[in-house]
Amino acid sequence: MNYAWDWSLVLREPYAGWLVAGVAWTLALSAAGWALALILALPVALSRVLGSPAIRGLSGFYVSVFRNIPLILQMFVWFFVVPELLPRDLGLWVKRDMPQPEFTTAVVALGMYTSGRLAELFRSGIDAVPRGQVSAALACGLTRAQAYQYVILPQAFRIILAPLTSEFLSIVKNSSIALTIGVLELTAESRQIEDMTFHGFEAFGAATLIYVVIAFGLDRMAARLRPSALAART
Amino acid sequence: MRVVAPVLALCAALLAARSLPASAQVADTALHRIQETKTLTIGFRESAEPFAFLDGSQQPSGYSVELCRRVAGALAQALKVDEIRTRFVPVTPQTRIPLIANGTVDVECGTTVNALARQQQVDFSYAVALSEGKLLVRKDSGIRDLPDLAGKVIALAAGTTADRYVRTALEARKITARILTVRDNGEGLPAVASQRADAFINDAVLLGGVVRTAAEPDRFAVVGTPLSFEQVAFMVGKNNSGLLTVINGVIARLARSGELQGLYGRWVAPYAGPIDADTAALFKIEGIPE
Repeated sequence: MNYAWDWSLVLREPYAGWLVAGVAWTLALSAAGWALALILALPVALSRVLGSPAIRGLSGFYVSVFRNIPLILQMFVWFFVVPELLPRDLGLWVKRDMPQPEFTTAVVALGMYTSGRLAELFRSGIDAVPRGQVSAALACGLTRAQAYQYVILPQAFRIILAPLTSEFLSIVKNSSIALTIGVLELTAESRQIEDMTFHGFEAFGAATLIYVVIAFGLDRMAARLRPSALAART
Repeated sequence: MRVVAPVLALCAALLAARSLPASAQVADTALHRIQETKTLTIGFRESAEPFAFLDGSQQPSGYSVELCRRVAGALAQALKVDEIRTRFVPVTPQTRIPLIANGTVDVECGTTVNALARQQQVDFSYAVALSEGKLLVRKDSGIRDLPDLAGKVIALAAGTTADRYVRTALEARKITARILTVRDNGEGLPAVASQRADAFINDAVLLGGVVRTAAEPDRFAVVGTPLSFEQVAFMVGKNNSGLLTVINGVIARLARSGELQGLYGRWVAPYAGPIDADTAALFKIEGIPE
């Protein structure tokens, strides 16, 4: 292949700085999107288990919409369509004056998409705890809310810890789709380096390695949770 | 720690790959390939009007494409064969380098801008056009030039050299503006139309092409003093001076005979106005004698 390799490029300024900035945006997107997803997913999951038939239907619809539409489409809808549906001044604010419009929109899209998936995960976790435990908790004098808070949810959380880790790793990778609406996260910065220098293989090679390191680090962190979670169970 | 070994192995493989190219870069591989296959493989952009695009009947067309078709004729003469066929391969800013590096494409005929950093990876032909960065704005915005953009939002297309020269110009003139990265040329116009951005900065000729695609072209204008002065050129893999000599010969002869100016007038002028003094001077300089 007729290609001049130059791996030192990714360690040189300004390109090293671009990669670092890209990593920061990727982590910020993932963390903020994850926080939003957790906040939204728990009530949705609980209403799917405990709600009246109408509320169950509604939360089921929520899950279907956000889980089944490809993330890139959701990203485009939030970015291109929603501001145009809002009243003119509010739409303009969303497009221009809102803090970090592209980043904020990407966090909303990532968070909503992931919340649909997490809601299903939480629900299956709750379902996996034997039904009799709710009755037992009620018989002990706990209210229904207390039964869920102290008995059901802690166990459900331990059951779903492994797939929850996978979901978090997914959001890190999914955050790269934010580049399509102009967030200069890790993949976008690699592209930028490729465009400036024509050393795309090195730029994307570095990005690949960084994603692997991030995923590996997160996986280790989650693994540290696991033994303690098991210990608390017995 | 189980994963550490494979990661190290991967690094080692990549480092080993780095030391290979010295032996792999044989001179004029593209010319050998063209001679053997009697085919010139041209990488072209599908929507970079007026330089390279698919026309109404889905055929590669445009100023750069037309010039590269003539390169095929010149190659037949140079290689002393009856005919060199042309084969067109669509490329994007993301695929152009890998496709040249692995030999899929012999020459890229699009809107690629020559830059010293890029010359470490590929070689460029003589310039076939000048690229000047200007502002695409809504006419009713009152924006005439860069200083009017203080406190406003500037859209830039990912993968263009605009990112560098716009940031440099803003810093030099102490103008604060927010930069919005859009995916490509086509998305710059909606950004300005929907008031997400106040100006879209890119090469003036490409902006002319973008305005022509607008639903209401009269609402937009391309304004401002040029922010950049760059060369649009054709791209070949490193160490292909034989092929490059043929390409540059075609450009020089066309420039000397005045045909290049005619082609420019036919393809590019409808987008950017008649040939300007700088481009006229460029073509005059490039008309190198036999």
